[in-house]
Amino acid sequence: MTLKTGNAPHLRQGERSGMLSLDVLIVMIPLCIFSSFYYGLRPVLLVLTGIGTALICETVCCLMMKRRPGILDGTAAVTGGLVGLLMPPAAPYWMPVVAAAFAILVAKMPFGGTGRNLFNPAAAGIAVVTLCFSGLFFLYPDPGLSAPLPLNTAAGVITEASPAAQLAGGGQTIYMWSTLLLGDFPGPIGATAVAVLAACALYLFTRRTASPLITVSFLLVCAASAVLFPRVSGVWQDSVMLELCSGYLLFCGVFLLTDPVTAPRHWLGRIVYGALAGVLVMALRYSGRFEEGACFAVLLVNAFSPLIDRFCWKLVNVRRLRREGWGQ
Amino acid sequence: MSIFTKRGVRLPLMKEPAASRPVAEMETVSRVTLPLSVAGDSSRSCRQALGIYSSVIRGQVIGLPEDEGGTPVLSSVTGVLAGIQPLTHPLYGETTCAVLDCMVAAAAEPVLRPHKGEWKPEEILGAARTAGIIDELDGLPLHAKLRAWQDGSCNFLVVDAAEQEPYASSGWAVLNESIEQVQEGVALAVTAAGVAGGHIAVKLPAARRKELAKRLHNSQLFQVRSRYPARQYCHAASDVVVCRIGVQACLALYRAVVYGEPQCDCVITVAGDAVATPQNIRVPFGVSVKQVLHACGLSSDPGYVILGDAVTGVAIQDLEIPVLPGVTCVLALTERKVSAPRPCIGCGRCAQACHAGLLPSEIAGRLENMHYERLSTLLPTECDGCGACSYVCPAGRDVTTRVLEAQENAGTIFLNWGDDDDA
Repeated sequence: MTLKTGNAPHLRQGERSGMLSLDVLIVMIPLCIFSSFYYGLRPVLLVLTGIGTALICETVCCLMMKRRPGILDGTAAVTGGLVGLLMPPAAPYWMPVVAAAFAILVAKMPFGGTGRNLFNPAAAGIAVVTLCFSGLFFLYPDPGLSAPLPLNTAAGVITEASPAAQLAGGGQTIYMWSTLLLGDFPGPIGATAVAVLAACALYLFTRRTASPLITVSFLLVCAASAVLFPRVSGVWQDSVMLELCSGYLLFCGVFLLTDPVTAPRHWLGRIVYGALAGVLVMALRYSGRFEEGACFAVLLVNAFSPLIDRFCWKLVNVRRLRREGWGQ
Repeated sequence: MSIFTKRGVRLPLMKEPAASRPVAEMETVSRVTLPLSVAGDSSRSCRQALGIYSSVIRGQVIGLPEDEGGTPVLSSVTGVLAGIQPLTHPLYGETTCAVLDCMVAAAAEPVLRPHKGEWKPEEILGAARTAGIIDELDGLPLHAKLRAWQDGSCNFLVVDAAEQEPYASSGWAVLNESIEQVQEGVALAVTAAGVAGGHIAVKLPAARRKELAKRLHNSQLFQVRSRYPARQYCHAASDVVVCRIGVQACLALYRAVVYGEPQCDCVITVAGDAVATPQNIRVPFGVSVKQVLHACGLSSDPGYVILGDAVTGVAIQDLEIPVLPGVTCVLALTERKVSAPRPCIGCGRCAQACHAGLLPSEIAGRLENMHYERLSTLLPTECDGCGACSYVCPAGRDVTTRVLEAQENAGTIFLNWGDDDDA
């Protein structure tokens, strides 16, 4: 009888990190279905293109680094899916390919792969296409008129200015509360379905895959700045609703900021991180070149995440640190 | 605020069927091994009190401490001192042990000591010392613990029978058997420590708790409601400082004071899927794990034998290792549900689970990146190794082990290498 050795605890909760990715992949399904309801199958294909590219790039990188391909943990698929969901429904198919490839090849693998990336890969991918192809990236088809989009080429679809563009342009917006909630307005594939996004967020919170602290503090700060510095005339509720629902602010709060790798671990750090992201997103909206610059805000706040984490932990434990003689 | 800082983990209980069976007795004991070292500090050895091949009776002193106040080592069986040998024990480290060949393991019928009036603290402490009572919670001598609390640093005594760890049910079994005596023991411990009051902390299903409460003449049972590891052992009040002793030590204190009986045995839970009859069994100290497993029977070849509970226990390879004070559980498992570690994805569940409010993943990361000089600012020394962070880690990483490694490195030579530039 040979007895094996092993470190305590000898019993584990049994949840695998792949489950966290699977949760995110699951909530992408209703977003795709919702989008295909307005635009046909093209959005679904775009998302699948993003996922496929990310998986291929991850595998190639792992082989180059002489590692076992780690695509089963699902993080690459999540990155590809998020990139796909942020594409405009009429985007050419090469666009998610470029974004997902950049995300994996530049923002993730050179840093050491899963768990070691400093910046959110999906946000980096989106930032690149925003900068390089801003003309195409912000071209959103009108959901009311153009359904379903042709699958092969999307040239010549009727486009419409999104609420974010209208806010940025300073013009009056025509969107009602109900329209915004139903997602019947131009915008990225996965970011217009406000009600579905809220349900996704609830699912992720209850599964403890995403931290509600980040999302809530982020949305509160965004809403507060919408009240204080409204870009539309009228009651403050309109301003809040428009700012939160336009662009991909909500999507960013639910998916991009809550990415566990790049977010702080400490509860206070998470609150500060979300709030800082909110400030940056709104600042970029007020003074940025683009109608939506949330991806840049995410990248910026990612860079501060480890600092925020340590600082907040020290702030909470300042007494204990003093007692141990580390307070100076 | 509390929802953000809700800490600890929910562990599966898995107490049955051992918990509902009566406490078994060990029928045959061939040999016991007892370390001749000072309880609570195994680096200091005791003086051997008897020559080799001399016969000993149960409760006889076989090791004398060097200092006056130390706890003597008592024989746990009646038999012959067969020899002295070195032993490496996972909990006691390198020790010199007395090996006793056992003839009779059972205790004699207890005789009531005549006593008038109230017991005085010094009498209780003296009895606890003579009886060699070791607290099973931490392996420290009970009389020293109680004496330390006399200075008023604590004001409430809790007898801990909560046992939140999976499988472990020896505390339940002891309470079930003799809660009346434990209750008397609480009163004695309260007197000895000079604290305001005390109660028994349990974590039991409601029906069982009511059954036990009926046998008490006042409401001394407190249900621990928090997650593992428990942080609240009494009703919350800001001025209450709790001190804890184990339920078996409390019972031994009562027996020592009232009957003059030495602490020679303990109740341990033997469980796991490789054990034929999972049960609580009373074993004399020093009996080997092999004899304990033999007494309960093995249904299959175990892959892992764990000394201690499933969360903090040590996997042992040598079944000759003795069961000593401080051990309340022996597990034999065919397989562990532990997967290969994957990269940390920073989900932060370890930080949520940590009852000490540490950042286990950050500590582990700094250790792995060899940032030794910045380790101690994360206070790894506050970790008590409860194992909650490893339990929840979805990447299957040994976070607890890393933090405990960091604890050893913090403050030693590694600290002087860097120039403490943590900002």
